[in-house]
Amino acid sequence: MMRARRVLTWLCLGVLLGPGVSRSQEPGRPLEAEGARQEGFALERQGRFGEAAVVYRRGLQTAPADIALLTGLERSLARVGQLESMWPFVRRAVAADPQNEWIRGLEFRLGVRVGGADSAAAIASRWMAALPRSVMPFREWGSWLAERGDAVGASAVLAMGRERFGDVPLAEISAPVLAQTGEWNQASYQWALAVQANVGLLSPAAVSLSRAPESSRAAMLGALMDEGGAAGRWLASDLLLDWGQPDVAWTVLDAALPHDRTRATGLLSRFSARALALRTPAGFDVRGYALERLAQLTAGPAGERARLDAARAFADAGNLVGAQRMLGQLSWEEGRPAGDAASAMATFIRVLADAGQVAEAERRYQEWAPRLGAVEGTEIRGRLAWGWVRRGELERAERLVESDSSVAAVAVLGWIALYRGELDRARRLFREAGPYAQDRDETTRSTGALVLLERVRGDRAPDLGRGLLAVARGDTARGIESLEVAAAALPARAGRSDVLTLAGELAARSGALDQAASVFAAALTADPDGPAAPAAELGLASVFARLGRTAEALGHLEHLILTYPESALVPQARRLLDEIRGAVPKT
Amino acid sequence: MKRRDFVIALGAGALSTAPRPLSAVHRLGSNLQRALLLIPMDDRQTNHLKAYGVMFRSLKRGGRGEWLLNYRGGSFLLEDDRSARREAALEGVLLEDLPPAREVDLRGHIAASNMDAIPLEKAPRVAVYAPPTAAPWDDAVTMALEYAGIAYDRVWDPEVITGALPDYEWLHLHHEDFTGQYSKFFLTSSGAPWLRTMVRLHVETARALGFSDPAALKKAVARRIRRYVGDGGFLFAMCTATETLEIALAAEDVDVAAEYSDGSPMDPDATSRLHWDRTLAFRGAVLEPSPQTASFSDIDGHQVNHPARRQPLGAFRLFNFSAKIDPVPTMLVQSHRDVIPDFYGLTTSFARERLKPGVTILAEEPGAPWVKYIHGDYGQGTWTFLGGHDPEDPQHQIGDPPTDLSLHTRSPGYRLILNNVLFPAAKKRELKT
Repeated sequence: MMRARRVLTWLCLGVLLGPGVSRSQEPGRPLEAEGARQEGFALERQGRFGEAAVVYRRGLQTAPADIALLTGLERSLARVGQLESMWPFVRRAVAADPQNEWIRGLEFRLGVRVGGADSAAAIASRWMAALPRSVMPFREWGSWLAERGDAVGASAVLAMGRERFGDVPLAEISAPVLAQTGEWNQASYQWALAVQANVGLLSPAAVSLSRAPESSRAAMLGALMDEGGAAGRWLASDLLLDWGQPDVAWTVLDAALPHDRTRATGLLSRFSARALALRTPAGFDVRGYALERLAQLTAGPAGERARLDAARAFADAGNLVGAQRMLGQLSWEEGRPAGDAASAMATFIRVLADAGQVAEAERRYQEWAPRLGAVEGTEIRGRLAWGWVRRGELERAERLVESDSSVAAVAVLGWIALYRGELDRARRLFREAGPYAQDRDETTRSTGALVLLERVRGDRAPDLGRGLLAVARGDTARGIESLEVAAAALPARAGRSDVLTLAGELAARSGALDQAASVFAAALTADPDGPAAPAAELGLASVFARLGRTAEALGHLEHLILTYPESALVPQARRLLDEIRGAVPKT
Repeated sequence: MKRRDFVIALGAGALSTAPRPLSAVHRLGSNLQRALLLIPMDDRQTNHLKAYGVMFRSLKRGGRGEWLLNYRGGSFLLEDDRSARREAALEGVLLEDLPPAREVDLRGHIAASNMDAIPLEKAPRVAVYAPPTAAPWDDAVTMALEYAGIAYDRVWDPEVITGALPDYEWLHLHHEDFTGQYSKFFLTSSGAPWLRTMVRLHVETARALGFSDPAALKKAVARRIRRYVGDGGFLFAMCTATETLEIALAAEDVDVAAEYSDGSPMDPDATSRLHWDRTLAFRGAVLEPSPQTASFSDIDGHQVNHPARRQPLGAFRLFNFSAKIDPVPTMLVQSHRDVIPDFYGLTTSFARERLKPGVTILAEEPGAPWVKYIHGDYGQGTWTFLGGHDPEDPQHQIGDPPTDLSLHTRSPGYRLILNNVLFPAAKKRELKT
């Protein structure tokens, strides 16, 4: 990128200096030079680079400092691999127009190609002497050294330049070189200056500085905050976001937002997009704050959109106060699209229900129900019902969905029956709901429940219901306890092994590995040839692997694969086998 | 037996196209009168990559087998034993029983077709040249070996310089940069922790082994590897290792390394001073002079890191050799797919005009000025080069998550790698007199 920028700089200089060059040409021969230019271009277009070079050389006899001819000759000779033969023409051009910045640059590029590092120093020194007010020799020399990997040399040259011209003109070149040499504080300061001059450099600056080792970061942030001005703070905010401190990042940016509304909205949009990429609650939260501030700076539909997005971001972060604040502002505005507001409110209600504020969520639902679509309404009622289930209030949950004939509602009723231990009713409702009750996760759960119910004999099993309800309410330990009690009451080959396997899976998931191992082992003992045996054995192997009991894990996995080759769990067992052996990367 | 003798004998034995009596060769069934197992390698196979491991470990246990070239995707035949059956079941590899009557049909079919049966008798000792800091997931060959369960040792510069290579029959080169320029990421990735670790390791190793800098060390390592091949070793290389090994060999007395590597800039006349008579595969390459461009020369046809010269990926086609006349290249291209999607690497492919005469092209992109997969002899040994980094990660970037081969169990690209591992297990056929 640095090279591209330098080429652009030279092209611009070439254009700017072009008219000046003509002053140095012999006044009586412009037509010959123009003819050579046109003929050379035509030959280049035909791919006849050798002939083009001859024509350009001829033209340079009459106009030795003509930039178009010099450029053409450089292009053509590069294509035929004879760039070094251009050297005499460059020397003549320098003699003809010693103040020409572009020709000095060409001399430098070609000179270092022919003569290496010594030539670079000599040519750059001549350039500095001829054009003492030009920063270009320092830029060229420093960049050339940096490209060769001589970051220390480049740093010294650029330091010389900064001493003569100040920091600003060389900041963009100096900053990456200083980062390369590990001078992170200096690099931070130079990047801040570069960003101040060109805010478009904010992203490359952040990328360059984000690689700094952890030990340097505090000092860098200090340098940016104390000496980098507003741009330093924007950069610090970017780095803090990258380094996992989104809340501090937002505080820093918020305090450094410029008065210029366009620039401020640009920075806020950028920050909110980068925060979204974090996909963490803290990231969503600061995204919400950035969007809220953006909404304050933006009028009309764009502001409305920002508020809605902020409400969603706060909801995703679990920040109910923030979401509520945003939604409250929406409700007072007129002329907004009702669908958008309803959608944001639906999100809010879901968040309230999931956060346990079910009564408030239900109140909001009753208030907004007429404005919600039928599908959305069904989905929210299901969510509210689950909210009541998690609070142990099965009656309230049932009331919300009992009049609903949707398959999703029937599935919820099936779960409620199961939690009450009414196995027969639960079987009937799950079958009625079918396998496509809700989303994929819920369908898997319902199908799993139905499979369990098919294997457990009897119409009622209150302990099983209590255990499952405890799990649904987040009390896994009590749930496992109840499931073990329920299993003990069941015949060995009529559900005991299945219920124990379920208890083992819950224990493993909650991190109670020793308990999980013991429950899985009990499940295997209860019915070693039963339908739950592969799952129990896979669970046991997985727990052993987590406990570092590798040999036992391998033994169970091999037994599972060889004993139940048709089991649907065999691919999972092979995968775990590969992981334990180190044959595939751990996921 | 030296590899060169093996290759010559293998070819000579196969030159006769007349049907041979089964007793003339070491056939499994006819000699041992034991039941056989077939590992089919066509589309019915459920895990092609693990199948190589089952075969390799059977050989390692002292079993014998045959490689049925061009028969159902290059299937394997092995003696029936409980261990093989057990391993196949555990790994999800499809086995088929081969009763004697079916074996007769199979051998008749092979005799009458462009197929052949190559005896496999000994699991080769495998070495992977890789720095000690490299994770197994850095390199396609290591991943394939780990996944298939093929045992290997890791060697690096100290082992090579102190003469450990003759202990191995097969050597794979990790995607090392033998020009000593850290894959030319030194400037573009400066400050990255992985690069700092790599530079420190290379510099310290070079000093410990008595070399002035990593570039000088890598040249010495390259010469040792060439000697290993010359003395009868099997060499397999992928990605940058192919191109940079050759440049390092050609540049014995020439400075081809950037200043950041050895303290002096690349010789401006380096290209014209290279000695291609010292290399294995390539000739006449033009070096990339810019230390910032992660490209080494015009050997690579795709130039993935050179924006102006980068070529898009296509697909490459495996050459269909005559199994009875050219058994060696036939072994190397056994696959259930003839056309395989291409994949990038720092060196993705090999320009046709840079190949030495006599190099065997195993796979190419039809109509393109580059080829993908090449093979040749050097001294008493052989070398095989495959361009690209990871057959199942075509756009591989630094920092990408590692490829999980359990998701690519039928990968034809990875099969090419594993063909190379089993290739040294092939035993020469008894010559007809």
